[in-house]
Amino acid sequence: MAQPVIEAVGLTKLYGKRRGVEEVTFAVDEGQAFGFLGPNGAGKTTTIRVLLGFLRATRGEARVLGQHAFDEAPAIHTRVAYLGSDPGFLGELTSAEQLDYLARLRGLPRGAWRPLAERLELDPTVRIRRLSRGNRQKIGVIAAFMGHEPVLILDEPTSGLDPLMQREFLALAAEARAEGRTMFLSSHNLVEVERACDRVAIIRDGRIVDVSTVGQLLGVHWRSVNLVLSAPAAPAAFDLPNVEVAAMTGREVHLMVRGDVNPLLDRIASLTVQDIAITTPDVEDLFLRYYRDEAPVTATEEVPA
Amino acid sequence: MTALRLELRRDRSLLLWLGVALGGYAALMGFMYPIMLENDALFAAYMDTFPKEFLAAFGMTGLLSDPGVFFTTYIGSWLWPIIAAAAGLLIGTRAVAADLDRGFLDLPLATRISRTRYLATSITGQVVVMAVLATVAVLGLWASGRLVGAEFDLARFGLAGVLAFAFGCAIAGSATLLSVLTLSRSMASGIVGGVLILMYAIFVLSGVAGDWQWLGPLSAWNHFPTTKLIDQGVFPLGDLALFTVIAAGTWLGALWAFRRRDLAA
Repeated sequence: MAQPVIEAVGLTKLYGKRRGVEEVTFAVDEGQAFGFLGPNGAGKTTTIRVLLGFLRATRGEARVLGQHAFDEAPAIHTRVAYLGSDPGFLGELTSAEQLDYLARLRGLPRGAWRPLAERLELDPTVRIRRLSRGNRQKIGVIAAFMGHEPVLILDEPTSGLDPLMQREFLALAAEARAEGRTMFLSSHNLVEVERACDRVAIIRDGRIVDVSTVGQLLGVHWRSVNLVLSAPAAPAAFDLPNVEVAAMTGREVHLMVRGDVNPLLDRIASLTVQDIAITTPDVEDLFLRYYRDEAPVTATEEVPA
Repeated sequence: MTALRLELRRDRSLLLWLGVALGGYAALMGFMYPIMLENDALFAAYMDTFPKEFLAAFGMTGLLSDPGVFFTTYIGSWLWPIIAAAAGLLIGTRAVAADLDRGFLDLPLATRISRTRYLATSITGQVVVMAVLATVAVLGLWASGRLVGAEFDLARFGLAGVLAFAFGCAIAGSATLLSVLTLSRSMASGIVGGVLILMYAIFVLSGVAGDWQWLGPLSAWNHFPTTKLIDQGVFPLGDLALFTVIAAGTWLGALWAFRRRDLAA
């Protein structure tokens, strides 16, 4: 079996007595887009900083492209593009100067960023200190995607981007996947991970609680269905497997559905519905479910030998 | 843009403001030198009203019209240490502690640039900044003094500049090392700044109070004898070596410590 491109085995990082991450184990194969999902403070950035060799693991091991993440960091970095969650670009530079500097350090030609700047509608002549947070984040996205490194490590890449630019980011991620590049994407946005990734790990309080495919994740987890009926219905009307009546006030019904939604849609079809909204839970809802369900804190996937 | 060019560009405004302040002040003092000469007797009488030990504690061991005393009084023991400390602390703590805090450090370190090369580039920038500032300080005074007829010895002033440069590098090196060890700009600056203030207090105390003279060698100011250098031509090779060893040692220590330092954002 081919060696994983990114691999963490029993990875533990402690900051003195404070917990960073504990016993984190996962593997990302070549060409995969791997989502790393968790709320703020769960340990996503710590894991990424260990993968990039910015932090040394207290226990366990992290390897990227078969090389030790800390000891062989400069060699790894020649084949990795990284976008941090809050990159501190230099305010006194223009976007063009900042991107040229990063291009130079990565061995890319001057102006390698131009096509992406046009695509993301970034004015490269403006000094960074005058840019909004969203525009500064665009610089990060451009910097991450302007090269052709086989591995992309992205930490909260869309934070601060408007919906249009988030869509553009997802398009860039899809193109990277089509090129066979491996992507590690940390996020607290379930929809983003769902759209950009094919496998996902969920981290909570520094520990991986689940590693699965995105399909499995959405199948296993809950969706919220809000109905406005033309007449009140009895709770028994929604007595279906994997459906839970969360609230019922007159004609308004709030349901939680796990897995396949078709049985519920069939049942709804027999009712007169004035309005319906089905939403994917955000990561906080997902974690509330995890806490409520008291999900066992174990990885569900073995790391390939 | 190469890493060194960016480093120097980031130093540009600091160099400009400190350079203008330092060069302007030095030039102004140089232009005032003839006034000192003309009123030498008056100044000497005025100085005699102070205890000799007290004046010596501030580097005024002869007449203000002596070029060495003049340089030490207005530049060597006063403005230069302030400027060198400001520059050394600002750029010495920037490369690691401040850039980590603002999220910039990740950008170059996530590329093929090794940690050693990154910090070495910053250290090169520090050397350039100190060299430029020391040159401005010495040349400002020397050139303006020459313009108004002062007989300042360029070689001796140049050597004073070399000593000032080494003094500044020792501050910058210490700030860099502490920046790597603490990853905190405020802590690193506070420690180095505190030690400098303590050294100045020791310098004054050991000069004024005979009982405390033994503390003198612990102060950097006692290893910065520009008066003797300029007026008597005695070059303090040992003091230069001391500052050089501190600068080189702290920079090398910073490079060594940075190689395996956890960079927790």
